[in-house]
Amino acid sequence: MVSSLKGYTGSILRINLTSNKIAIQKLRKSFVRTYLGGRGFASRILYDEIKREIDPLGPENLLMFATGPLNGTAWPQTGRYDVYAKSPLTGIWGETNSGGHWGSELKYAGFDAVILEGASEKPVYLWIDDNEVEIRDAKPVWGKNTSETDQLIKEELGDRGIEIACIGQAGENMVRYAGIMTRLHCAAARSGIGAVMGSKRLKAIVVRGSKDIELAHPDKFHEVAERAHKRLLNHPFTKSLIKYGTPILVEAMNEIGRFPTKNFQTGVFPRADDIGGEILNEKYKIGHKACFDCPIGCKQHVILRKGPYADLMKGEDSQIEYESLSALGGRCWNGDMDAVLYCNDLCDKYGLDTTGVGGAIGFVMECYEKGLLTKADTDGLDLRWGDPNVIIELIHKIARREGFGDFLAEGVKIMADKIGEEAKKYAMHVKGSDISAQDGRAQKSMGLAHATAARGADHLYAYPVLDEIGFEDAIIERFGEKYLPEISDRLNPRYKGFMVKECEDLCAIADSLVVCKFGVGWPPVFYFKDLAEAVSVATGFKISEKALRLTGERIVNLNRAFNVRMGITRKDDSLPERFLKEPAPEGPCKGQAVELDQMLNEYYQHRKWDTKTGIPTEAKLKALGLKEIAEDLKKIKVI
Amino acid sequence: MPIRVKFFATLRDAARKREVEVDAQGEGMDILNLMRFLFGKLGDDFKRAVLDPETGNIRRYIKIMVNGRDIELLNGLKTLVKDGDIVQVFPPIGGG
Repeated sequence: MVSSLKGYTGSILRINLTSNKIAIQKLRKSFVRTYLGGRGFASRILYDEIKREIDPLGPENLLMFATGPLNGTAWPQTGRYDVYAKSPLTGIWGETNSGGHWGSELKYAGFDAVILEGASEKPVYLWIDDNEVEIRDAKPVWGKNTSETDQLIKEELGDRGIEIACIGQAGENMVRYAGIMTRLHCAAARSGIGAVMGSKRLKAIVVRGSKDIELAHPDKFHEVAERAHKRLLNHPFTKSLIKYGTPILVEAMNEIGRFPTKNFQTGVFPRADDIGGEILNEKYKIGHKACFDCPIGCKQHVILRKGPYADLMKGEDSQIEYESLSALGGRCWNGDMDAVLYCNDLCDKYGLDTTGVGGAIGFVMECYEKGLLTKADTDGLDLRWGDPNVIIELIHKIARREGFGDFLAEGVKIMADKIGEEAKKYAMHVKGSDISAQDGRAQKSMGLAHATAARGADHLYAYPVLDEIGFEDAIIERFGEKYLPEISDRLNPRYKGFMVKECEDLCAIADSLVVCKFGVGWPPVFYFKDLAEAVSVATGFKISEKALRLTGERIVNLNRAFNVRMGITRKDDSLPERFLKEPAPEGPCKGQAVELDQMLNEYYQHRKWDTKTGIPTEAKLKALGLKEIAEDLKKIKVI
Repeated sequence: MPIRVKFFATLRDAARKREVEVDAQGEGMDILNLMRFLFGKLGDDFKRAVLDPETGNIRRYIKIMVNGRDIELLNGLKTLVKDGDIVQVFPPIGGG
């Protein structure tokens, strides 16, 4: 059936895993225009349907896989998908995103999104074969890792072209930072959404699609998309991303003192070159892989050729990103690249967020260093910094929730609460989510972005990366000259409130379309104007740049309203004491701490949120067309 | 101890080196003169990668730092460097 909505399939698949009821919900045009897709859709649906008090790992939680109007089209980098739920790691807005091909395949199968309610009694997986939807027995793959699951399901269905989003043992065991994997190494890692999948005993969603996506103006769209491909490929900032991928950031961020080391004790890792992009390229790389319709192909395809870890990996190839090199390397003081690659592969197979794993292990290593944990707590393990064997052992224990690993599987915040007051100083999280691979003391915009991101400490909710190294031309293109030089100075807190607000609104659009941040944020090629043109030509809606900006703002406000209802206020938009009171001890940022209050005030002013509480004002919500949300927040007396 | 000049990512290919050491000869060398010296020392590939042939200026998206601080926030190409300083030359790189 052809959708009357161009660019969309027009259908959301809704499944209750308790009753096995399968329903197809039609999208309304007014809803689509207001919320666009992906994160926009989820923002409204989760706000309306998830109650404040529910257990994120209980059947009342909603799990939503979503795409947007550009997925599966010729616009570059459109194989992505997002997943949303109340997070078991933070208890607030949960969101995770991944590249690959699953998102485009879901569109070809005829669905813009899949919503899972309830929980199955026995392990199941979902098989979506175009419009045919089947809930199948997952007993043969329950207990298997993501690689085995991928293989076994392909054999069972007799089709190697299917796309599989699955959890490993970590998700089954409800590790609070378990993720979802596609194509073995593409991770929707954050917010512990893999644990929500595990709680519903849903092992995988398997998709095969063969339908077309109808566009409003196909010829014009293909012109626009072809131009976009060329601009992306020819952008001067793209060259390095193609050759090195994100791993080259290890050396670069270490050079500016921003590479998380020893649980963020410092931003300088003496062995950064040993685990960086250069050595990865020279010694391990066998190629690079691309997601659906991406001309860059940033995924570094690597192999371990010899040594004990190569034996353990049995000749299998792998992929690694900057975030994982940081989390499993510098953060744990581990400079052994072979070991880092093996640990990363283990996390992919178990279905674990490497940031959560590195965050948890770095934290317990520091607690051990400070005498807050002893061998009596650690199953006898000597948690000295950087021992690869200990890190590997802990990854196994976390995924299986064995002994001390059961404690680590709860995440940094819960661990710190249990260890005691002193440990909270070393718990590097915001709102319960581990801080990703940026030290805010060395880039103030990132410090603010970690504090304000709806899913907790996260670089991708705003992705304010233009001031990392400080490329003025790109900054002028987006923000004009009036904020220079302060805005491009990563150590200056001025104008960072403005910058983070603008970047958050842009990322809300990227996550709703659903396109890659590599193209929107870095390289900084596509901005509101380009995305407004693409979505207008695809859908036939006349969406101006101004309207798109307002949509981005609407989505961020809805995410905030969701969190406000969960009790979040300005007090939670904070950073660990280390970033606020413990100046960076060495390197180019020596003596720096994060001036968070100053930046937060500026941020709330630009958002037109109450600067005392950090809560959106009634006027702001109404101006964004969110009158019912304002009324709802008034009912619970927060505005 | 001489000045250490470090190159990153694709600039390493152009320079065919990770880093070079340069004697500052007292404190009289600014970044402009340092770069001119490097063009002679490292050859045309490096010069082409760093210098815009149309304007004769350093390309806008080549970023130079002294001890981890952007020279635009110091004294631009007139920023003086001395023995013991680390100069970092970045191509367009970032994003995480």
